[in-house]
Amino acid sequence: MTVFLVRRLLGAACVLLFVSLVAFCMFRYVGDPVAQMLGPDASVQDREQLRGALGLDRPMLAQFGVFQAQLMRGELGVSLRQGRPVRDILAERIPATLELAGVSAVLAVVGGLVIGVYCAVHPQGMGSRAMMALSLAGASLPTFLIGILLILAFSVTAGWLPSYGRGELQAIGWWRSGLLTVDGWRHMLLPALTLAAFQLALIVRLARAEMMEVLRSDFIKFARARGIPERTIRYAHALRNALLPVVTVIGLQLGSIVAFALVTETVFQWPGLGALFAEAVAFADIPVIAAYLCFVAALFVVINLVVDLAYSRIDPRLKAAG
Amino acid sequence: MFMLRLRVVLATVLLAVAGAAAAVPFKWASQDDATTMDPHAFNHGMTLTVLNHIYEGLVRRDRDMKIEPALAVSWTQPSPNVWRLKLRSSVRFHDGTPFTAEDVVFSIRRAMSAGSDMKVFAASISDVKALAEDAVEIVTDVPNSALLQSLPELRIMSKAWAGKNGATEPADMRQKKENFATRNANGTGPYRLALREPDVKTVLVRNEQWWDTPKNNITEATLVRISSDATRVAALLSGELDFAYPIPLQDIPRVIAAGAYKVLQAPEIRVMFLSMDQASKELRYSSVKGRNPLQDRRVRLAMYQAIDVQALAERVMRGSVLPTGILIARGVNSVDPSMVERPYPHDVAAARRLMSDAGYPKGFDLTLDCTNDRYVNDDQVCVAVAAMLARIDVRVKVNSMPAAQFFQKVGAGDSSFNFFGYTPSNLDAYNSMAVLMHSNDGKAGQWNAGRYSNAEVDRLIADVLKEMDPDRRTRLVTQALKIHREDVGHIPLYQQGLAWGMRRNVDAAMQIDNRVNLNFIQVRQP
Repeated sequence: MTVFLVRRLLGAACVLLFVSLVAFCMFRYVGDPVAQMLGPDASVQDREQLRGALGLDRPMLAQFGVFQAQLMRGELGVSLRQGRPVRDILAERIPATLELAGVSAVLAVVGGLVIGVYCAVHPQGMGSRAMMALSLAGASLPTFLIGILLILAFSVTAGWLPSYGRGELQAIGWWRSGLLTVDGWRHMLLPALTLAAFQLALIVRLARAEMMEVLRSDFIKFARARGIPERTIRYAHALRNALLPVVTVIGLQLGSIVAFALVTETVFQWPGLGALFAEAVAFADIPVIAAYLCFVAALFVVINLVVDLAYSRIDPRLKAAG
Repeated sequence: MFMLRLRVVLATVLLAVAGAAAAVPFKWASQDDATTMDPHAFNHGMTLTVLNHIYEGLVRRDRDMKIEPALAVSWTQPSPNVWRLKLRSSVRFHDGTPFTAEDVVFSIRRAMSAGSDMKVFAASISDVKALAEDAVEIVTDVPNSALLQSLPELRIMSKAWAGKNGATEPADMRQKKENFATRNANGTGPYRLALREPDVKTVLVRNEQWWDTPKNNITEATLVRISSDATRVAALLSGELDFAYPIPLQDIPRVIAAGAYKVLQAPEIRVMFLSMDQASKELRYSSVKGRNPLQDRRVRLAMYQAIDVQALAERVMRGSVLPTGILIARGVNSVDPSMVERPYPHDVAAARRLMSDAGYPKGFDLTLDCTNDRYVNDDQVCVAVAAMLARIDVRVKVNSMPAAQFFQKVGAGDSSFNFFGYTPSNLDAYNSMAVLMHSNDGKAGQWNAGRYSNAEVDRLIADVLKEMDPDRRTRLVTQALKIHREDVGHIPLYQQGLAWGMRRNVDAAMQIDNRVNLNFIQVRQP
């Protein structure tokens, strides 16, 4: 177990180093922050002076060394756009993204499993057919289009739900939460649904396929032959066996919910990490871009680690083998 | 019965009166947010738009962008380099400290310091000193006729407040530390900063102690940032906002058709133009080797005449822009409005003849550098220009890129032909001329991207700065513009259009510098 853990941690460190290298390379190719930071009528001397002060005129390797050292100390630099420490900005933005991702994940997992199982149990029903068609749309429509269609339907036409932002927030320490107020939830619904749409569709289809597969297997037939009630067969025996691959996929998808919140956040002006990243790219605000990339990489590494560790616990067969 | 009716009428009248005077909260949205609350840290449109409500300069701009007294009540000019300004008495900052000459000296010096991004507006100032409690003297190193035009951009903060909170230097991004003034503000202006959440919302509340009488009825204004065009329009149409800008061209008819909203449109002072490399011996991005066809005036004129600006304005920009013949917009100080006529008509046949005369009957290849995220329909304009130039066999390859890359490339002179726009931030002709038309010599001509150079124009630009008489100054500007036009130094295209969307009951005066001013916005009872 320890060897396994150490090996995984070393791998994680390599991934992070590589991502920080990529993040650093952006300094070279994303564009010139100096042109953005100074007004258009600044003189050439002013530009050169700022370039020197930012360390942009030093050799690439030296710049990378400085960057790594700072990263190790948790110093993420100062945003070129806002003039504030990147760490503070990230801390401000993380609650928005995690809340959105959390609600989306719950929506996708619970909704996906319920609908998926229902569709598997009643494959010929009208409801199932409608759900399957909808899930196809959810899986194939691009996120930004789903978001805009939802805004058009629920905000502009019906006027029921707000179209942007987080609404009224409540502070718990430094964490500003939108989950404690009615207004916060009203603002949460559309973005959460948009972000969940793809995962929801995926889980519906996966859960349905797995469940139908299991329902056709021999042990279910034997169970039926033994006269066990259909309810018990479906939800105690079949569902448990169908869940395993579904749980694996859910684990892997959690990271991407956070990482791909970018599009949803931009459409709904949701003040989270994704929107921050999109703004940073447009402004060539490299410290923010680099910090975001490193954060997402770290998140994926941690999630994969947890999934790997959890695996052996969920599946007794793996435990026996390990 | 009669009394009852009278009472009802009276009550209705009273209600109406109370309604007109009542607190009106106002919610407005923009594409961008202010980046800092420090008045001298960042020369950036949206930042200054918000700061204009909190901080004031010695003078300010009225509804028609004319200079009028603000914290200074009057001024004299005892000699060409010296300005004496009398300050308004009994003005207080939002925290209650009285405003004095010391604050002016402190703030202008702060704006001139190394870490300031506003020092371009104080470039000619060599000294500023307090003469009395209510008088200051500003000394310039050369006579500067545009000084008053720049003063609104030198915003005054409290010396005591800055000292107490460790904000005596501008919050400089180079020092890598946050400054108290980045997120807090203490000015003399009509609104106080009540809440600031960067990139989310900024709440301004009326300053009841303001020295001037407010002419608008907005007591509380919440600015929210909605960067996605579609979402911003949707938020306006769903009734969540009173005001939103900019409204994208393709959505203007939709906003109007919704019924409860209107869109104000006007030409902005941003002028869009094409720059042609006239300095290189050989163009970097062209098929012509060993010489530079763009150094030949006939070729530049041919390109000018091949481009149908009217078609660009009507089709690509859906009638939202105003074609122009100079690099400086109408309404900018010292510009003769008759100069905006385009001198050379759209004429493909004439253009083809010019190309043959210049020795390029078969044309040549050329790369047009272009932004794709900075201006309204920028890459579409470039594609249209390429199609128009194809008619005189100038085969243009459009190279479009994000603004962050574009300005690096063009600023380094690594471009043969490019498209961008410029706004003179102090609304003065000298600013545009010095930045765009003056020879690029390290001090001026920063964005003279074609390296156009004419000694006569340089001399006239220097004279414009020194000339104090408004009429003579306008004549000097006109003279320089005429030479530049004769040289075909650039190809000016159009003034970009502004579109502000709002509820029908909101009355706004449009500002040609695209800076929303709540003082000029009135909300009627719907």
